[in-house]
Amino acid sequence: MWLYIVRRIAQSILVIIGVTLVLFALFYILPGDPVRVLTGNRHLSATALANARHNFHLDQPLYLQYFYYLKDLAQGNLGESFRYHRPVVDILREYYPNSMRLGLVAVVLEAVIGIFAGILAAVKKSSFADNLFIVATSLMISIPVFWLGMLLQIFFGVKLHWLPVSGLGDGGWRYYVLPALTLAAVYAAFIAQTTRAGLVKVLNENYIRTARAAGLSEFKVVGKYALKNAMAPVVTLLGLDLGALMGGAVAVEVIFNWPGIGNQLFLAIQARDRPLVMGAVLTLVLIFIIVNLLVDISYLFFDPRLRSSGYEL
Amino acid sequence: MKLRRLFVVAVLMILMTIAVSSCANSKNNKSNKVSKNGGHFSYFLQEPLAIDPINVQESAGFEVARELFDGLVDYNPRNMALVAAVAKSWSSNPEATVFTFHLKHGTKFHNGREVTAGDFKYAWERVAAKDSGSDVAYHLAPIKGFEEMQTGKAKHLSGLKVKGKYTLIVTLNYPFADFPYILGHPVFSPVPKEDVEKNPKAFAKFPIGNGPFMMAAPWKHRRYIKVKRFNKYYGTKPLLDSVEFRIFADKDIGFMEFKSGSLDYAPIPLGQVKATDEEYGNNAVIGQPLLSLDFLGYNSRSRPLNNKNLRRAISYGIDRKAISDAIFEDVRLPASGIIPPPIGGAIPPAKSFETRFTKAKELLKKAGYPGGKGLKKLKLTYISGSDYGPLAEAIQGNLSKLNIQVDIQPMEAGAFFKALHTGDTSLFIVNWAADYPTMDSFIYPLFYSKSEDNVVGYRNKAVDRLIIKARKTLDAKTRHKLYKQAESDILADTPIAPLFYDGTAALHGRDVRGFIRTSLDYTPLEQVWLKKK
Repeated sequence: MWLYIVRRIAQSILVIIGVTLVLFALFYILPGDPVRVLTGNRHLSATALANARHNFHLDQPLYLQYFYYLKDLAQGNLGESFRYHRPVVDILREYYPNSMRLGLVAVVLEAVIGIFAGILAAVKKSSFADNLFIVATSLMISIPVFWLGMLLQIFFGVKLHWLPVSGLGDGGWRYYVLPALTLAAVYAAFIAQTTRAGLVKVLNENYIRTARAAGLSEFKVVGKYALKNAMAPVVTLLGLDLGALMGGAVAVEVIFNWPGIGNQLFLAIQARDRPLVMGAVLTLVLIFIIVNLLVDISYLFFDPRLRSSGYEL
Repeated sequence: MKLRRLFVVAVLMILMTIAVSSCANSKNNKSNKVSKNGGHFSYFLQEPLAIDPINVQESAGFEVARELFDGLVDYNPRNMALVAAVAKSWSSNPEATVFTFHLKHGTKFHNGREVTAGDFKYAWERVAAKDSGSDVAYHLAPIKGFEEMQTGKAKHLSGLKVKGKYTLIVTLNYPFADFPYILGHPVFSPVPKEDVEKNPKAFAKFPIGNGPFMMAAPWKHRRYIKVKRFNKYYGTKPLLDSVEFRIFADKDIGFMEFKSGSLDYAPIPLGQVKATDEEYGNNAVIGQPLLSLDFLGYNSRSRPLNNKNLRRAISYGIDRKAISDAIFEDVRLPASGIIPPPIGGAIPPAKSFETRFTKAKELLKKAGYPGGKGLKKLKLTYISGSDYGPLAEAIQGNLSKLNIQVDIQPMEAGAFFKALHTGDTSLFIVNWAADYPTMDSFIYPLFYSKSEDNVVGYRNKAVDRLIIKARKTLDAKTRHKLYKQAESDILADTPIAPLFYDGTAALHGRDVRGFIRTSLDYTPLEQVWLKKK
């Protein structure tokens, strides 16, 4: 397993270098001058423009700019934001934790709601509750996130005054409720459907029938033997969601004015802030790689057969 | 027996609760009495790029910085006239090239130290330095020695002389009678060297200024900026105890927050202005013109727009009133001139659009394109993602009635500005917002032949002479006359078609008093107070 992890890390470095190369090339191809975007329609003097370009190394050939970027990157320096004149690392340090906390709360919510609803539907298969479940989850998946978010804001924030409409305020738990619910709603429906499908399949297996025949309680049959075997696809899905949500869910962060990285990335792209976009995307890639690695390792826990068969992940 | 005891205990508990809560109430009442005119104000803000004067640029940064810092001068919020701030008086030589400022004694930074002329010199040179990283150093361009500092040849502004603790003498590169006005911009605020150099990063998040409010906590990016009253402020102290600038990504969310009751001020998003006006009436400040002009630029350097009559026909063919009503909910004021009304621009009596349309047809004929015949399709550009999309379509619709065909091409910001400055345009919609409340800040940058902001490439020697003469004229009345004359000459040449003066659309809470929206689109918070609830 260790060999596998080392190999994955080596691959990740290649992926990161590839990402930097593609992003650098993309920014270079974009029409217009980043310094002009910064200064707007104010036409600066030649000296001022030259100074601005010099400060951002934009006066050097592209390959040199890229070389300097990689050199800094190797030292953990992501450069300075064109727009905010602050180190990218500082900006990421400010916004990533907010996105991560929101993502984590949302994933926990979706896991709890989704798995619980999925179990209920699978156990009560073909009942009225199960049909209702199928309709409800399909509906949740089809609802646009921004619409659901705004609905919650108007109802719980503007009309009832129960919860804050937006932002992170002083960081209290009340600020997390609406955005986390909005984020969790759609994903919970996916989780619920996946859990249900997996569980229905497993519940028809011979060993479940044997367990029931041996007189084990239904709770033990489902909770201990069936659920664990139905979990692999659910965990994969949760892992992917975690990666995606930690990187900031742009739509929800924008609607809820969440000071997260998704919101910031959106603005940075508009402002052609290359160092900030690259820093944010690279961190996002890194999070994805780490989460995927953890998900792969978690398979060993859920499926002991893989351990004994020398599973190569 | 047990039940009776329980009853007694319950009654006692209720009585105690009432007693405690009444005590708490009387305490609250007491504190309300003390802060009769004060209170805590919650203010809508978009994330500023900076609140440290070195990089203050857009209106969000301007709004915070002007509460934290005071420059030599300020503007009267009602009419934008120049008023003294840290300077008690100033004078100029007859050529308008040397200005002497005398500072008030005893004005203090938030760290308690007195503000001196040397602090201004330090602050301005900090901005002008080659490696300052300031995007707004251009404000200092009139000062002698600026170019040398920008190129790194000099470490000091040769045009700045400090005489004693309270006198600052500024020598300019050229005559500029309006120079004191530009000093109202926060980029010219003094900063305490000891705090800046101790930790520049910390200073950017927690600037130490000399304004009516001081930072209460470090700026939490995209969340809030909290300030409190500076009790040693030299001027009239603010009435509010504290202000929280709550940061929003856009106006729609802020507006929803206002409706939920958590904001005391929010701008009204386009599309909700008329409904809000009906609902909130007295608490809305709508349609006051700002120092901001939307205009249609012509590339008059090449065919067919080098034809003056064609340019005039296009301008006459646009129904500004109808467009403002349909798209901008009457927030924007149809513009017939360049200089906005708050600083002396005239609003001529409105002619009916029918009359203007007939005139447009005549002008088109005069231009050699009767009924639009022989005129090729014109390209109309604007920055994609801006709110000019519907405006471009409305102009296209208006001009099609004159048989002038227009092709709309939104452009990405970088490409648009590049095209603007290389002259690779035909028709374009752009906005010009003044940095300072002067006629010069519209006429000189946009129309002086050597100005780098003259995006329409306008050249008129007579107008150039008028502008230079105005810049040399110290008498305000005569100076304004000269700028107005220049404006009228420019309009006769029609290098642009003025479209709209942007207007206010602001909403404040029912308990807010003393709320003003200035024509530079900020609220002087030092004058605001909250009515006791």
